Amino acid sequence: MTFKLMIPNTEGELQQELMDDEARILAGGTDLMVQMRSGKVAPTRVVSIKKLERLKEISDLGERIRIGAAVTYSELQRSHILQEKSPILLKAIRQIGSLQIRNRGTAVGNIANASPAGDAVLAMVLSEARVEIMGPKGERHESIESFIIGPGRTTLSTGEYIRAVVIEKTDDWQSLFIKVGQRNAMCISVASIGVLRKGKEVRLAFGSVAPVVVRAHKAERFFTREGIDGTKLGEFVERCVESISPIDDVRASSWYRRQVVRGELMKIFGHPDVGGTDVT
Amino acid sequence: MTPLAEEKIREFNVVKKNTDKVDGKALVSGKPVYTDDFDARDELQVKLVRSPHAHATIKSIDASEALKIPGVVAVLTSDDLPRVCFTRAGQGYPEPSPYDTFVLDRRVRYVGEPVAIVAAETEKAATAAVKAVKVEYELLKAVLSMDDAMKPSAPTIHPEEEASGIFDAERNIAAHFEMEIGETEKILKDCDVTISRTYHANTQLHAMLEPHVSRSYLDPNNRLVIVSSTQVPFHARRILSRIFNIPISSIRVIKPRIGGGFGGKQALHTEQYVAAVTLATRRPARLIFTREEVSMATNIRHEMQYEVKIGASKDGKIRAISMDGVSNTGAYGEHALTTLMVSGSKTLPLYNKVEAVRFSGNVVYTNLPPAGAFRGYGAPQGLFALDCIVDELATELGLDPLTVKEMNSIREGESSPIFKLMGEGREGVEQIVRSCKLQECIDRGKELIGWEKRSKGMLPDSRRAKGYGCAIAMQGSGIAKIDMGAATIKMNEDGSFNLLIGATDIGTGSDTALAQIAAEVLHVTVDKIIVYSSDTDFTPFDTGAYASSTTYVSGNAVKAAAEKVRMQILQGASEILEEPLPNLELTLAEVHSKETGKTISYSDICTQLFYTFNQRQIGATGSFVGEESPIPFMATFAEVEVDMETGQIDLKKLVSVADCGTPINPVQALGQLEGGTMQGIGWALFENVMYSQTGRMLTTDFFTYKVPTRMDYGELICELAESYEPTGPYGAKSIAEIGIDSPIPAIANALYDATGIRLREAPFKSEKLLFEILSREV
Repeated sequence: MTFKLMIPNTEGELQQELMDDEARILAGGTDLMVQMRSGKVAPTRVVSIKKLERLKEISDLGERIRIGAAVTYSELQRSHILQEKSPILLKAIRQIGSLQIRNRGTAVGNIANASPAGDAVLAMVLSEARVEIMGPKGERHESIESFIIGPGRTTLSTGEYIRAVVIEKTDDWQSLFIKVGQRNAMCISVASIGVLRKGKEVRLAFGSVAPVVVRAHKAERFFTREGIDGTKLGEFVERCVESISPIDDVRASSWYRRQVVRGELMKIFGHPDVGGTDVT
Repeated sequence: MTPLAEEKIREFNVVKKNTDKVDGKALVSGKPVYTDDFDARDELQVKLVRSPHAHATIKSIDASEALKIPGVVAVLTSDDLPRVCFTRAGQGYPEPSPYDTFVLDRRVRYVGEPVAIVAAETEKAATAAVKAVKVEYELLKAVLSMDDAMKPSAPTIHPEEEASGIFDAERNIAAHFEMEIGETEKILKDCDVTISRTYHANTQLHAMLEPHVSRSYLDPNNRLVIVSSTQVPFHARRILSRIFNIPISSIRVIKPRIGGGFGGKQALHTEQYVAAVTLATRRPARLIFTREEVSMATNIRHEMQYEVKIGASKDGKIRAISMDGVSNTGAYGEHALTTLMVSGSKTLPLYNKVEAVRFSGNVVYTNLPPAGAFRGYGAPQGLFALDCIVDELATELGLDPLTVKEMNSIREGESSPIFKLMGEGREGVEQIVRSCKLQECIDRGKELIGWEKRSKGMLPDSRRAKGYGCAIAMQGSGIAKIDMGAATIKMNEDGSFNLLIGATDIGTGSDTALAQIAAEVLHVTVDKIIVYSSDTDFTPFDTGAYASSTTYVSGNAVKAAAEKVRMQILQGASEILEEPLPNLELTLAEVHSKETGKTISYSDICTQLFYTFNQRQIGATGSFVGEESPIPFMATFAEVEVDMETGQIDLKKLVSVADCGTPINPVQALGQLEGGTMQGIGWALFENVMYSQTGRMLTTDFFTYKVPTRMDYGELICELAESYEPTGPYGAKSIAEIGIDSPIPAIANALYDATGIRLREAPFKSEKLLFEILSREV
């Protein structure tokens, strides 16, 4: 494992460094270092963004919040604006790795890594996040759902980098994040489920059960149109399950992943006493 | 006759107190203490070329390209090494394990088996050379399960002529054992209720933090020195002497601090390779395993399956038990026979009131990683089967499982014929249970879990089911008449003592506990005892850190040595003070005359004896071998909640109360109990070894092999019952292993209580449980 470590002082220098196909950005390194060690990636150039102060900003844009690429999970957890305006993102972050991982890892890194198990990605998908990308041709913006195209794959091209992510404030939605793993700490989920609900409107996303984190758009529309009373509940849950396509791996079988999603949705929406109000 | 327990419980000066670990500060402050922390000049870095195939013969090895890589010094293959058959198992001699292993063989028997040794100036060159060595294999059919091992169509895994001690090599049976007391089948037929069930405990990884590592060099007199992360330095010296045909006098093995073993270092995994390099090149050498190597190519736990039959009368009295097992020893037979025997001998005596009992089993070879010693050593696999079938029997009889366990289990002053019939690899010894606080453990455990007030069934959310389970367990303290430990103590003129022990502290805290025993006898504070352990040149013999032996066996040796030294101190004082011996007694670091009131400090006594008066060295060696193996007992209670929609298991609370006699250092004893319990919880719920279809272990890192963290289970309460073992040093018996025995059955019983589903294969995966829940609903 040999590589050059570059630490640019400006975004201009950063762009220069990234013009190399074999360059990889190092933010927290919680994914990159693991992948390099296991030999999955072997960049010749590792570009740290730690000196780029502007990428460490969290800003309030009114309806939305902008999170810079170098902001760590721990910084997000300490941010008042996040605490007040994005309970779903904080709930997801609480489930990520360990304290040490959260002190290093970044939300934007979670997007760049494009894992279907990304907990922060799931919360950002629910928050209709838009990814702010800089590149040789200037700035562009893309929704997080279209930006992530497969496991570990995004629309980022050579020379481009994510400068920030902009999420919707969702404090007026009820939120719920559930992660089912083999154990509680330092764990990659077997399945994860995020829900936002505001009256008849609902947003649903699933992690670890498809090549990417998926939104259940069809099921969401069904919920708004038909509701979930009586027999509608079963139909709603099946529409949710239709949106996922889990695989077998060392963590669980696809059969179990479907069952977990089904079971958790019944718990969230189906309890006779709770009637879906469990979503707080 | 030796008195029973209560008579000797008393107050101590040093023992039964929470002394700081003697090595604690160095460990936590990152001082260079471990094998890999030291460097030798011109040291070669060693790496092993490993087989990608589960079963193959080696047609040829071409190292020419590897040797061209700059910095590569040597590539050794089986042709360069003595063809000596041995066992890597670190056990008393002669070992009860088959001799079925070569340092390097012309046949490979599991994925990851070493094929060639590479030595280079740098780790980088060694790694590159490993990839450049070309090995041509001829593939053989592989045996990848216990079921397949004994089939007539199965290939023979150990056809080599040189092997010895294999029970039936042709049928892949490494070891076999059977015993019967009474007419089991006849009584089983005669019982009011007889049930038969099969239980299967899968393997487990030791997952110790420090990987296997050793270093070797020649001292100025050309003696071979090995520094190793080992639990068995004296066995390592003996085995290396045999392999390389060099006298024991020309080998020195040093054990520095160890970052955990759990049985995984009770075998030679690295020493033979560095020794081969040093002997071939005359240069120092170092080999440290990667985590992947530790997982797939050292030792794992014996997977075992037991078919159990149990019969009882209607009132719950157990009349007969029969256990028939099969154990998977993988590619080599390390600890094969003894782990099988322990799974019977350290479980069945719990139910000593039976009219008949039978135990039998085969240990089979497969082309999977070799199994070896692992905390519990077969007992947890046996107890899973035995405790659960007693639980199932109680359900069948409509009785409370705990009541059935209480009414049938062993108590103080009782015995079992099994003690004599089943030892480790041979006959055991007759013994009565001199200390047994099992009932006290049960009573206290019931209180802590809230057994009487427990409510089971669905929780108010009508989704989660709650349940409780219990299990009782036993273990041993050393192997009677086999495990021997020795200690030497010498006095210094400031009143301090060097305590030299063969005993091997692998992170357990035994150096501290043994220092406490010496300090107690010698009437000094622990800081006056300077401990040096496990160096074959400087410390007396000890079998090593295994079989829950150190506190009991080595502790008694330390006590014996200290008592001799104590006499010598009194003698010296008597000469100096001109007072008869009976007048004198030890007070803190002083000798005091009860008659004249005269007092002399240890420092004064030793200074005079060194320099001016009746000059001599105060010092003595003591040794000990157990005539019996006193049994620690334990009761474990588990409270679980099961999510009936997902099968998720939430271990809300687990209570283990153990009787280990006098805890020499209570906080360390509790640490052992908690650690063992946690490792048992991991095995029960999280740790799942998986293989590919070609027999390659897939779960070789901590991403895929999930050891539980503290966040993965609820409240854990461990306590020690008040007890005193008359044959132990200051009343102590063992605590190192017993904690791991009971979590699996206790959790299995609790899961049944919660869901009505009986899981008979561990670990208990949520996925499996959900499948059972859904199958039942259909």
